[in-house]
Amino acid sequence: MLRVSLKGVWAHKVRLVLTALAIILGVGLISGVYVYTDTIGKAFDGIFTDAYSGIDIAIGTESDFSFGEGTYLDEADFALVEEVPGVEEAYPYLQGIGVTVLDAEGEVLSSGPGPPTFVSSLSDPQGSTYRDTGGFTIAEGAYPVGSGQVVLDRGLADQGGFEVGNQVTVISDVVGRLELSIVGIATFGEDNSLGGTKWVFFDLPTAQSVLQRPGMLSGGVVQVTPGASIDQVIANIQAVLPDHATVVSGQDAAEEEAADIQAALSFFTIFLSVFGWVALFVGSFLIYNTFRIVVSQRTRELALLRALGAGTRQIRGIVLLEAVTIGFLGALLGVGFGIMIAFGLQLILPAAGIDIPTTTLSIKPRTVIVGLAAGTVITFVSALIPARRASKVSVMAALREDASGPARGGFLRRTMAGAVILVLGLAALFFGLFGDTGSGPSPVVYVGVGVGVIFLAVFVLSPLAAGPVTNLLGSILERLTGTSGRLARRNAMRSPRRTAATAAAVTISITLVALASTLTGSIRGTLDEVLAENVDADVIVLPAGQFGDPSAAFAPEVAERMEGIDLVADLTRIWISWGLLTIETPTGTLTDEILITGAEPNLADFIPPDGFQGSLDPGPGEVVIEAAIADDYEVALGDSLVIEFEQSGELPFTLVGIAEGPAWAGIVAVPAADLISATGLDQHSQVYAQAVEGVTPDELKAAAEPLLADYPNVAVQTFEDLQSEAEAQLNGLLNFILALLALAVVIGMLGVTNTMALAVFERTREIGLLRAVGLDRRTTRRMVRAEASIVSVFGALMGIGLGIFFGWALIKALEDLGFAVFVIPWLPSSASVAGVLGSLLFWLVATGVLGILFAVYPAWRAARLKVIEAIAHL
Amino acid sequence: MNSAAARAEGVTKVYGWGDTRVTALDNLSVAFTKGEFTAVMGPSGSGKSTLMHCMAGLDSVTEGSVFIGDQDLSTLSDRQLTKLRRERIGFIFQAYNLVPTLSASENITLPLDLAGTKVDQSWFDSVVETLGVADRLKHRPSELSGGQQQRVAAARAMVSRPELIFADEPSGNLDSRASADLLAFLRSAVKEHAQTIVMVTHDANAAGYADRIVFLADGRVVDSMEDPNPERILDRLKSLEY
Repeated sequence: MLRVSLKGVWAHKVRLVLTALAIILGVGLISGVYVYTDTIGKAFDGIFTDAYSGIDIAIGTESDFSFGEGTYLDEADFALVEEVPGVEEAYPYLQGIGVTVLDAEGEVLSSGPGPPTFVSSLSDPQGSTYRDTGGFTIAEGAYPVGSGQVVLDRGLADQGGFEVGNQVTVISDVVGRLELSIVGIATFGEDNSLGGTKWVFFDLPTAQSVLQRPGMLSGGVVQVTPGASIDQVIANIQAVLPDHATVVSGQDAAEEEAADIQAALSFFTIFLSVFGWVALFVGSFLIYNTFRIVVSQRTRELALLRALGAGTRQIRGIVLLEAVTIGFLGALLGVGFGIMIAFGLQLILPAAGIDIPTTTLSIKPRTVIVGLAAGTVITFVSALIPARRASKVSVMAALREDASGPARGGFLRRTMAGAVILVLGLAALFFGLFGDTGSGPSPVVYVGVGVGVIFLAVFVLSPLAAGPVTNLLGSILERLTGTSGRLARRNAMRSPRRTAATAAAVTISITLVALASTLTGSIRGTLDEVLAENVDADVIVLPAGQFGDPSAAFAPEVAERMEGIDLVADLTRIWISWGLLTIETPTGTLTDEILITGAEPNLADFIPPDGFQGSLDPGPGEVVIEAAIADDYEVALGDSLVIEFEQSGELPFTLVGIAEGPAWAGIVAVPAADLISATGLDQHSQVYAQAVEGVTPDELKAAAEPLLADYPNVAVQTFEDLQSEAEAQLNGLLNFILALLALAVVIGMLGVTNTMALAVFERTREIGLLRAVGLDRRTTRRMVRAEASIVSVFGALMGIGLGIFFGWALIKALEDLGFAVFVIPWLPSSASVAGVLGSLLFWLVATGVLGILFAVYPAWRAARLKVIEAIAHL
Repeated sequence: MNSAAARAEGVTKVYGWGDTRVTALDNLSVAFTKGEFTAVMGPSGSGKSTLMHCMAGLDSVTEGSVFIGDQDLSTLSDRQLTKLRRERIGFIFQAYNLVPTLSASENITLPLDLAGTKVDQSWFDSVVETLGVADRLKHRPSELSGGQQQRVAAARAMVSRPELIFADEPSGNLDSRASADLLAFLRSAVKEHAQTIVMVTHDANAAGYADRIVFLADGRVVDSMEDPNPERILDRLKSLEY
């Protein structure tokens, strides 16, 4: 039986290659992502092991905040550590973010799509035997001493072309510009940088002043006296420090930090591998369809085997074994392909300026097992139904002349089944999106299951639509191309189930493409509306790269300079910090980490609400929130809310105003003075300015820019700037997602190639006949390509429909987050590549063209058939 | 020779190479007269199908020339041959003559549609009337009997007014009744419309409907017979070691 299967595989090499290709691509993406992220993880493991080597105990702090800057220790508390029995030496440090380094030309040393620039203290250990903070050592020059000296890590220095002795400009978010002299270059062990991050070192007092954290520390490292028990010393230290201090062994600290990175990486891994799974899901339709067609083609052969005494289970076994063989081989090659992808990424990303630490490729058994299992199991499962069909072939079929006619499924049964599945899928989707999932699985699970089930329903129902729709598409084509179009139309209609199954693979990938386009289109529409209609300011000053951390900030001097411009009629300054909003409700306590806005009294002049209750000018201890948040927390005017700030703990506020309107979406506003005292930082995140009568936004911007020229970390932007920046961000996101979906699209189209190749094989005699009675080669090719195009566009139509529907449902579900507008992006939003890629009409046309391209090979085969042999073909 | 619809001059056709080399046609010359119904007979392997394929431009000859009218086929490209087939030649095969997705009527007009030529409705009506398929035009091939399918194929062969029609065992798959019907229709097509038909067959009864029979053996024309009848044919075949 094995021999029969293997010969079956070998006898149809093209089919083998195409089916395996779907597996290779899908498994390749998944295993490539695994290998690459594992390799990055391994590199970071190495980095942290190095960083903590020789450190007995690491002292740090913990925080309730996911996004905050972290909590601090008082220097006075840390001083106690040195007195703890068993502590030989204790070395404190302060780390944080909030500086921008300029190169010699005054331009921001771009950090690219990477982490921010870190500030750290790096004080001279003054003869201590202890090694330097966190693995950094001075490789060249000296330690920084005093407020005028700085040390850069080697990577940053090289990037800016700096050497020891040069001057460098560093802009602190809180204290503004600093002109510093570089007294040293630090390296991380042997490496020029810590995994591509950028570091600026000061002595401890200077670091405290640059970060505006006087007398505070992030933590410290400890060496124990020889012979002391580390566990005992840890307990001793913990006893003298406040509760939020963490005291662990150096080894544990290295493991914890590595685990944090692994957790961050695993999100990245999951996100990327999802696209691999989507590709495999699409591939499963291709495999299903291939085996379905193959089984019907081989009806007589299988019937012959039955006549010779093969049982139904053996027939099923033959088909499944063939599937598993192809699946396993494809998966094996896929894992190999994945390793090549990871290797390629290691070469390409650094060349593209994305500095990610690497080491030798890490190929874990998990990668190989998941890859092989995914490819094999998916092929096996996809072939189950065709195998069942094969086993039902009657012995008599061997004797009949025309045995390939498929059994017609009941129209009514199919409709009923499809409708039931569709209703279930919709129910799951809408429950996930709009329902209260309570303590059950997360809404994402319901949405995912709902989407999957809806796909299934469409798959069941689409054969019903295949006839009429391909007929319509074919009629259009027939108008254009005449006889080849008519033949193509009839061919596409002759087996609605096959057409639908082929189109389904295209449908899935185009659904995701259309979903991505619809979402980005709607976000763009929302931004346009919010900016254009709801914000009453001519220019906004933002930290450069404002789509990063929303709490990013700049020094107050920026706003002072803006105020000094006589073209400015009025301005308002906005402070932003993370806070934990806690509200006691009758059913329990709700806590959310959200952005808290520090507002000036005139804020509402710049973002006028559609309507409001109470006041929009919170006094000390008062808060104004947006209506949707008030609804979520079920609070009313006069209620008291607790906001916890990372640095100052819980503060009580009274709700004095509720504002409505898109410009207020997500806003929780407290008085600026309250926020400054709560965070300890006086730094702005946004400044809104209105121009005096008759001055255009561009004129105001032109007036402001020279004044802020020495603050390259801020950008003065008009709405048009913001729109085009948002456009660029959205386009970048869309391009990234489309690049990952391209694989699924290609696999879907390979399904078209496969079906067409099999159809050409099946219709050999018919094509021979057509050629004999006068169909020339060119028209033969055109006929095959036209059919492929019809099938592809049918798939794309369903996909676009589903994508729009899913997009609409998601936007509706996210309405609370400010997604006010739903846009169906039929036409390109701009003349750019991304603008065109975001248009649904483009994809409709593109799949038609892709259908033609992917049918070039089957069409060539059809045209190349020798007429006489084709006519004689059985 | 000017009354020949098609002729072969010194045609040799060789398949294969070395040990597997087979000479299917061996310096063969033959001419088919306009307005005549000619049958080509011979034992299996005598080259009768090869002759038809070469004469119809479906296969190339190794040596010699094939003419349709005055057109030498060896000078034509694949596209020109395709054009010639759809405009000047009609085909009836033993089976599988019709495109299953097209109706009988669409099958009949297929060569005209492919050529982009307008259908001459009165001629179409007359042909489908002659072949007795006028009431089956809307049907798909799967809804027609074997005899009806072959008659639709014959109508298709005639509708573009080809100079000649090649029929390869057209009645081979039919029972005797349907076979007789089809051949009678072909016969009357020749009579009424001065159609030229060349039919390859090994059935003496079928050949009996022809005006003339050409006998082939080992790739050569070995004999011919005018106004045949089945008994004479059988006698002749016996003498050809049939």
